[in-house]
Amino acid sequence: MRLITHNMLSCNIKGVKNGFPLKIEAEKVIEKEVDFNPDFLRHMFAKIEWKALVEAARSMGYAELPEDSPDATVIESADETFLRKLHHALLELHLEEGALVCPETGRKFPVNKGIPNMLLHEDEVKQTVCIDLRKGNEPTRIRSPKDRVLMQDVCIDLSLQVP
Amino acid sequence: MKLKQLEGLLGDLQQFSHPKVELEQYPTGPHIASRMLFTAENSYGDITDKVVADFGCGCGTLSAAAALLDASCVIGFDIDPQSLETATLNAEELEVEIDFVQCDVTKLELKGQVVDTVVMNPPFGTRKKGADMEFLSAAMKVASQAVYSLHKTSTREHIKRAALRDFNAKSAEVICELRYDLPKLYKFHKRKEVDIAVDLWRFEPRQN
Repeated sequence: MRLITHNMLSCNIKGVKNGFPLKIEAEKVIEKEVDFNPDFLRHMFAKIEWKALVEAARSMGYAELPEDSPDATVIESADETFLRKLHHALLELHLEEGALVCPETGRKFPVNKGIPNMLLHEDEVKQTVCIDLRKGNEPTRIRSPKDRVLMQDVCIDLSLQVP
Repeated sequence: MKLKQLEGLLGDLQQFSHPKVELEQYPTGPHIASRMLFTAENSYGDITDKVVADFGCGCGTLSAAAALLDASCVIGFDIDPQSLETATLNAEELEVEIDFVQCDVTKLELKGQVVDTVVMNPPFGTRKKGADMEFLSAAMKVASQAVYSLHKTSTREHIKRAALRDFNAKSAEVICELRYDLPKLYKFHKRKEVDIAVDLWRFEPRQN
């Protein structure tokens, strides 16, 4: 798993207010070179959570990224120094073995052969509700995908979740 | 890369050794996969230099296609560890970089609309009712540019309504209708082979 992916993942255990970013416990890190694509990096930069990336890179043994997020001029300039560091951190460091740790609960999601296992246990999964228009906007719990299909026409917010 | 070449490379990939019926594991054939991704790039520019997620990636056919069409970052998500092992081998065989994440896509939380494009061949909902809708809902939450998905033609009106009304879609278009040829994979399959009419959809999410 590379840091570009880590920068997107969040802990989804019920009750967790902010599961991002996941802390990294690195046991085995490998480096693989890939082609440098400065245009992609410039485009990508706006979407990156900078502090999370710096911290994550450090956990993987790479401390070359500046602490503070550079401003637009650095990104737009022809000087590739910064972009090369970003490229290396984002795309060339692979976490092969270790764990991703939820910042709130401390729950560890193991990483084996580069693949993080983010599957939740039964009691960690959030319950889904919808607002049932037939019952005066009362939240109604969706217990199964079949409920969700039946509720489709009477609910105004299927994505509502209770912690 | 030419379409025929892409199709050829995808045809060499390993598929499910022991497909799990409850997960609706069916390989996405090279014919469909190559055309799906080729169209996504050539007609819409949604693959090359983009961040592409493959929801329910299975053995990674769509992920591989995205990587071969020069997506700058491809991430495959699936719940089944055996499939992900096969997907990893496939990526190594093709010498492409793909990150894989084991998770339940319907419960996944990403940090907003962080990927450009989602490509997927989701379960049709024949084993776990509503699974196709749950996958679509999940995909629409994380894509900023486009979602490409295959759904049974018989569900066309239902999908369109749900996408536009509930899943934050700016547009929902059937790009083409395909015949998905399913080989006899499971014991309960009576015929040697069956053809299902499926729609290739392109959804555009609204920006959050």
